[in-house]
Amino acid sequence: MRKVQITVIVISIITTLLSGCLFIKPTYTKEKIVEAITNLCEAEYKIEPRVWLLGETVWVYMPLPKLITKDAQFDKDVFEKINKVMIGASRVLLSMKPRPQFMALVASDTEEYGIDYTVITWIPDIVKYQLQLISRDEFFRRNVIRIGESPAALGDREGIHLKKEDIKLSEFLGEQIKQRIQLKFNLDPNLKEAFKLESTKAAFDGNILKIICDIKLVKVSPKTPMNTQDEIAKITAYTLQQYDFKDFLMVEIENTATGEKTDLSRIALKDFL
Amino acid sequence: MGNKKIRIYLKLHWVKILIISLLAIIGLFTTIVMIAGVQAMLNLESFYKQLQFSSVPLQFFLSVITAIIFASIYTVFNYWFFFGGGMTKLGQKRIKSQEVNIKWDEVIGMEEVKREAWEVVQLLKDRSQLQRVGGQIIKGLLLFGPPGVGKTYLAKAIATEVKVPFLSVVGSEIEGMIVGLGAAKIRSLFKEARAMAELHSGCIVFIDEIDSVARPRREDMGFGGQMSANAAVNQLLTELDGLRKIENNVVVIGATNVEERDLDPALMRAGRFDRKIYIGLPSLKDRENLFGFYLKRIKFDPNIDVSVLARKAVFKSPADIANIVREASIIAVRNKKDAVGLKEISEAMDRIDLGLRRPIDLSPKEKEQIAYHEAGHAIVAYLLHPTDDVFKASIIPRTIGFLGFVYHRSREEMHIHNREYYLANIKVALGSYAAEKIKFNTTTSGVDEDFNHAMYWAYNMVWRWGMGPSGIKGNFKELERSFGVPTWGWSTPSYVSEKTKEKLDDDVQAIIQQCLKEVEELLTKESPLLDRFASELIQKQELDYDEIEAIFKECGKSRLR
Repeated sequence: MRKVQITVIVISIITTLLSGCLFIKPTYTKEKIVEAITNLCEAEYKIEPRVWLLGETVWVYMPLPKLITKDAQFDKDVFEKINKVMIGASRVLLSMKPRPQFMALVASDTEEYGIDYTVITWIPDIVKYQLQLISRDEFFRRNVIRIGESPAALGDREGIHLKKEDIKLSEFLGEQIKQRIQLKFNLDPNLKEAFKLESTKAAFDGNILKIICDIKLVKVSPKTPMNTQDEIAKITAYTLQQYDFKDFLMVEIENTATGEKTDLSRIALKDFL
Repeated sequence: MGNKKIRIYLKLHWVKILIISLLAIIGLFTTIVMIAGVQAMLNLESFYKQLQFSSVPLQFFLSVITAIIFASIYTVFNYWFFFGGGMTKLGQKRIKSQEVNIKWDEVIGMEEVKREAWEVVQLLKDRSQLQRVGGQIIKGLLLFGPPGVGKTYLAKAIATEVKVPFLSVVGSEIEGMIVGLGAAKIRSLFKEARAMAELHSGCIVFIDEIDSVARPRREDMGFGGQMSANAAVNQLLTELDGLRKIENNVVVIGATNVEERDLDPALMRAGRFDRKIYIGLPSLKDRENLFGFYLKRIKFDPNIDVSVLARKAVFKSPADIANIVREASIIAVRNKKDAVGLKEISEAMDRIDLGLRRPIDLSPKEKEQIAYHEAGHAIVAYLLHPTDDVFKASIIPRTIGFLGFVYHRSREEMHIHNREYYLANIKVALGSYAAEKIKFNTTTSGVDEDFNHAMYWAYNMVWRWGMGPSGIKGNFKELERSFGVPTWGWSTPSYVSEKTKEKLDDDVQAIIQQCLKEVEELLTKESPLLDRFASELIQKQELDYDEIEAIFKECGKSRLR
């Protein structure tokens, strides 16, 4: 009797410990990704987005009659709708194997102003966010957001005007670095007070990441970080390290306002971590 | 008929039915919840399902760690609380027999008791002897007696002799402020005793002041205190019975100052405390032994007569005698003496009985009056008292309120006295008055307490014991009481007639007058002795037994035998 009890306990413990290694069949497949996202959003949120899979990128299009208010602010209800579609699409992408690499969600104002609001997300970032490996703030910083006028969007309910493409990681990272530089110089109180960021560009040109900024010194204070090049290098080093991106040889940082230009090799960039 | 059966069944088993119904409802509800949970789990999308499953080992690991931490804390706390050094152990001391180390020969001053206790020791040492004749092993021994007579000492000596561990606990420390703690402590004590008995083939549990946990059980008044006390008594009874049922050689020795009737009757019944031993105050011979024993531990004057000390220390317990010797050695050190002499012992006794010396400046006249006052007492006691010896006379004021005193005690404990004894007491009390009158032709207020004593004895002789000169007999004091009828604060009705009262009062006065007359005659006749004794007292302030004996011997007087 005692033997039986011990055996049962041992089997229970082993089963419990091995339960994490169970193979669970994916709920969705890549082949049926379009139907899956469309059906889920329709069934659960009563929203019917248009969905395409281009290589490793899933494009989700949301035609909306009104995207922004007259004060150029996002409409609250619209934002909620975008959020729901994003959650729906994320759920499908998370429970799918193999997963695509990127999700690009485009919400367009098709009736009033003709504006495209695009959110590009690297799918592993969603997984990390779900597993709480990154914070909510960091997750949103990682999403690349494009907002731009698009007259072709007016009346386009099918997403014809979209220039859909298979997004590459290098392209995504370039845009994310650009976005992070903008956020840093526009939101950090010390930098915001001392410098004025006129424009930023960040993109890979072959094996070189070229970052061209126009940053002017407007006010000197004791707290002003004197080297904007270093600040940009830090942002770049951090971003590339987070994605473990090594497919480049050099980073060129140029400030057109001051004429400063810094070239950093991949190894030299590590000093800014 | 069927309905009646169901009704009766429900009446008898409604609690059971209610519990089973509740359990069934809970079981059903749990099953439904579990099924719903499993279904929800199965319906989860693969990512979330994987998330849940992969967190199971981690949850399991964390649960195990948490369980280990809490189990450790719980175990440590429980051990401390009930078995370890926790509240249940407060006041409990475990001593091994070799650590107790009180040899049987060192137990003195209770020869009779020792003989009785020795039998118990023999039975504990050789249980087979008793088992051979089919007798039950002694499991409980109750030691009664006034404080300081050596109950604990005897218990320790038994433990040493039997060579088993000795668990000592004070009854008053068993009861705590937490209800049920007393019972828990007793349970813990006996659990440890049984374990010790298994390890060392026996154990003695000594519960000092057992009356604290063995008072008769009473109904609780609603505050819980009595409930806790009752629980402690019940637990003690259970443990005592438990000892009997299991062969484990644990013997419980209880000690108490209270009488048997003040302990719970259930505890007193046969089979619980098998033996009851009364340890009284030591006899003359015991006191001699005790003085001899304690004096041997210090440096003392070899001329000290322990028999005199023993006579002087009537009604003293062994603890008192030990205290006297200890105090005497302190006085000897203070007086820069190499050894303790009779003077130091005498001073120690006075200090214990009468308090410290009071620094009062008395005038020579006052000193003389006090000296004659005390000399009167001493001479009458020496020459007329049939049972008492005069041990000391002093004219040094004491903190207790005396300006002087004469210390006289019977040569042996007496538990019943005759008419002559009381008359002698009255005469000794009146000796001071007579001496003052003879010497100074006047008397002082110092006789106040002496008259109190004389009147007390005379009153009791006449009113209670039928010793009055008129021949009137009976306990009239008893007739002055209400015979158990509640008086509700009103004065007690007297059943003694005014005529009888008058007669009794006349008898009291007659005794006093007669005694005074005899004392006056004696002191007048012995006025040289009175002068001598008083002058010696004025000179030396204090006279001890030997000095007093010497004065009387010089004057050719001998004690009344």
